[in-house]
Amino acid sequence: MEMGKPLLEFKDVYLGYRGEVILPSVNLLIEEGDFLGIVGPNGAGKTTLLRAIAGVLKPMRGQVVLYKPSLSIGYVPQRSLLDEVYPLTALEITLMGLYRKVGVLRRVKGYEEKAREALRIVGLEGMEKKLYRELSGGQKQKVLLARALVSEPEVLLLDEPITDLDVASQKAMMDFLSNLNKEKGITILLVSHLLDVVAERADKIVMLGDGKVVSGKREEMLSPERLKEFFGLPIGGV
Amino acid sequence: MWHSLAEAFSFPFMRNALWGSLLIGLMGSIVGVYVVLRRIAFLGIGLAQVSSLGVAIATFFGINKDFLALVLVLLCLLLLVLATRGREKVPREATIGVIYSFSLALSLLFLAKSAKGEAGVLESLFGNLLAIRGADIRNILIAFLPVALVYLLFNKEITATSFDPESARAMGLNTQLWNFVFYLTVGIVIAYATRLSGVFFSFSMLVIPPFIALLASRGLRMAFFLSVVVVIPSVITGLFLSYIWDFPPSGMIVALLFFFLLIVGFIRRS
Repeated sequence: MEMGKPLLEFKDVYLGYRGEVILPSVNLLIEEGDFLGIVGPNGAGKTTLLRAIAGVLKPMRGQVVLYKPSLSIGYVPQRSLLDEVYPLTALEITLMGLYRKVGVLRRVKGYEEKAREALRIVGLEGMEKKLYRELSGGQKQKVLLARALVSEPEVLLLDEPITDLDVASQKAMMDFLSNLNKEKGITILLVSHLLDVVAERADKIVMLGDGKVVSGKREEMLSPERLKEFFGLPIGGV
Repeated sequence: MWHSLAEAFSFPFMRNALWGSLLIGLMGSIVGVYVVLRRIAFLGIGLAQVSSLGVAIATFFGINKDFLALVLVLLCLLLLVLATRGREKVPREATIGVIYSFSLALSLLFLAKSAKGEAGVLESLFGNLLAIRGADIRNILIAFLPVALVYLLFNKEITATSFDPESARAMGLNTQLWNFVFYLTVGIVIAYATRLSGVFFSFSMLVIPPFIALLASRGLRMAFFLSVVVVIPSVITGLFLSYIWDFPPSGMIVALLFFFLLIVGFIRRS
């Protein structure tokens, strides 16, 4: 994948729900190969922005320019939003990432090898038949990651993938995502409220707070002024 | 015993009850797996009551019961979507509760003034499986075959949309279409099942077999299989016992399902 080529741009986009604006006038450029961290306090609208990038939430106003019309997106939602009452195995959930490719009226049987490979890549070999609800928090996160990766996405969107994970699992997940970004050139957009963890790996950062959305290179976004503006942190940088 | 069983089902009304109950049970048990997993069982009884209202109004005015029951159920689903679209001031369950109470009240009023009177009220609630006719079975087959095909062909799309609609949509599935298809099939199954078997039986078939299956199985495919499988012995045995002991068949079938539920619960505990 060619680095730095524009993929998607938000031009004066207003986002919100049921007529109420949450994020006014968002201007954001996403380029191929970006590792972009979307950070901000709870309730700042991080998930709202990610949903809009994913195309799930339609903008109330403004223009979303897709520079590549057939952009393939892998989406990893917040784990807590999934209902564990569904008796689905790790393999069945991973296969869902291929449903669009498989197409209507066709069975997924022939695609199982691909899903097994995705599970192997995220480190869940041998767990294919395990029920999702019986896995640990970190393993569940990996299943959702495998589901997003199996479709071979150009852009990977992750909503709070490291929340509730222990420090070792957080590091392993961030290492894995960094490798995907560097070695496979997958553009990564990661939402988290853990600024320090994100700031270690992301090369660009989007900060949200009080309806403001500001983005830029990691170094300029981690200036004491910016951190104070968005997090109220009286510190000299992360 | 085999002789008694053969004798019981030698009567046309028993055979009609058998095929009718099996069709309602099988269709309800398949759709019901998603109804239970989506946590919308209450919607099931609400819609069943709306369907029953359709039958009551049709009885009063002497018009086509199947048609009116289906139209009212689909209208109610549309109303629910519209009513819960904006900011919710009261939970959706409460809206369904109001619809249920209102439909039951109107059903009582219409049935009280219809030719059937109180007997009609009882029939709308508890149904009469023994009154199912050959023509009813033909109608229900015509209505249920497309539903069965939908679940056979589009199972993966409906599962993905039910489990994680947000990701399914982000990854390119038309979740609005699959949600529409799902609710349409729920509406068809409930409308026809309630019209023939009453609110109690159709709701029970929508909830109890999937409940047993989800308790006993370790996978979604197995859950669908068990949900369907548990219906067959319950219906055959329930009808037979109701014949020899002179009990209402719908009550006997549901009691047997509950018996199976207890066994599964006991096995799981031990």
